Amino acid sequence: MMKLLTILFLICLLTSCLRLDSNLFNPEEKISSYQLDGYKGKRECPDLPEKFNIPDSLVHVFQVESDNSGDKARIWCIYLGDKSRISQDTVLLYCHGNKNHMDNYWNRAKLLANVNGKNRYGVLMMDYRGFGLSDGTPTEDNMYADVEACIQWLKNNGIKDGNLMVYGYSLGSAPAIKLAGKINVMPFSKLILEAPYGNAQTMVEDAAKLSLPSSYFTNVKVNNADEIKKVSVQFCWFHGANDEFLSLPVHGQKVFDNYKGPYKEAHIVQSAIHNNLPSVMGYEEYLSVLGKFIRR
Amino acid sequence: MNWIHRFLFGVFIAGFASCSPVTQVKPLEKNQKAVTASFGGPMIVYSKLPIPIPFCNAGFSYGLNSRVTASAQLGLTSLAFGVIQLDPGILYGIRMPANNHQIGISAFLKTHLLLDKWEGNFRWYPELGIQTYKEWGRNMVYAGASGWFETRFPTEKRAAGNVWVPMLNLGYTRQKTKWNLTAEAKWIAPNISKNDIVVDFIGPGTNGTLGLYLGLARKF
Repeated sequence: MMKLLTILFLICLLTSCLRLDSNLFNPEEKISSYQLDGYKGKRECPDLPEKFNIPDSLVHVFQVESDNSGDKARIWCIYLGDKSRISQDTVLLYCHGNKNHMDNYWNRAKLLANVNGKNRYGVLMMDYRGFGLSDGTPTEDNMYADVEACIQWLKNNGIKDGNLMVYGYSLGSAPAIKLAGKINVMPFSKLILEAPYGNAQTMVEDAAKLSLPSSYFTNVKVNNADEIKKVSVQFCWFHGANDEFLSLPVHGQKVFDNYKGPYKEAHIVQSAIHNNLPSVMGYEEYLSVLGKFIRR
Repeated sequence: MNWIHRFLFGVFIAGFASCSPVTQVKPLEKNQKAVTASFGGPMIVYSKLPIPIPFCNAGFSYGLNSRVTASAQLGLTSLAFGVIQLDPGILYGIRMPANNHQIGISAFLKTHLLLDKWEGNFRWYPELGIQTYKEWGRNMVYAGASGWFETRFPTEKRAAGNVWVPMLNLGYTRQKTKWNLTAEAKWIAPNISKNDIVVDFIGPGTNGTLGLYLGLARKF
């Protein structure tokens, strides 16, 4: 009997594979095409005024090939701006959060394309693998590779050193910080984070209320609170004071405090939760703050 | 991140720390053995219905003498995550009721040992508890308090700076000659706010979460 129980135990242990990694990536909705302004689902900045709309001629939906050490996938991107002028323009690379797809973030991208005036800067966003129409499976390493593929696309289109900024929202803070802190295909000139999370360990402890290691639940190794120490470009941080998912003191504040670079500024938005910061802050105010940071 | 994914990410985590089996409150007779199984966990809202998260445990108890029972439980849900969770413990009868009019009092000390197969991370958390119980006929009701204690210090720099996670419990056991069936409710972490964490828990007020558990014991 004991032998049988021991064998059963070992089989259970060796075959156990429940991990929560996939829950960090939440593509949710399957789509057959990008609808952009015609999208009827829930979206970021739902009440964005029409004055922030972008002319169709400056909206480009396209695919790039992402290669994660031989694991290749076609991912979808949207560029807001004049593609023929990328070599002269400054571009804001927007890394979206962990749910849905670019339709969901379309209004945000339009808003960012209005910083310091309409289409003053180009805006590029992408759907990571497994999101929207992009091929493949979302994983931490694939996500980094996907963002690097977009940077490579910008480089192929002539972007100059010092003209690329990155904006990471929520999960998107991981590739933004990771790539800002290392030598990638193109260095970023500025780092903007909205509602970043500290690290997987913090998330686990926040839920468990004990010092349980993240390895009990996930293989994800994202550690923004540590990676930010390697960042040496100017840094701007937004966080909702009432963020119900990635709480300000536990996640964002830790990232902000650990930044050791030359300049940082923080914008804590009272009453804002995880996904409504620009709206609560006021779109004009949000653009103004962002514009000032980018110009400095 | 929608609520279901928050649930999946958060509740499993929280569940690990609150998936103690139903509380054993009455010591076994000397040399008596029992095989136990327990099912349940913290309450969350699923499709607008409150349900407990299904955490499972299996265990074995042995009466060292009429006051002291040794036991050990294995966390089956933890095992599915590649984490060996073994909870050895001792239950001591402080006051053994001589008749059905008296209230029994017992205390237990457990150690929750956890080791994962992924990175070999080990943790241990002692749990202390005190219980009171009252029997009439085949029925028994019990109530008590217990708490998991943190063993990694300092806690100040961590997201969870708690030194302990207390629980209050209330249960009912239907006792048969060979079988015991138990239902128990726990108020887990009543000292900790459930706001601003990744899980949407159900619980009284703004603190802690409510857990519901069912337990089965076969005595030999």
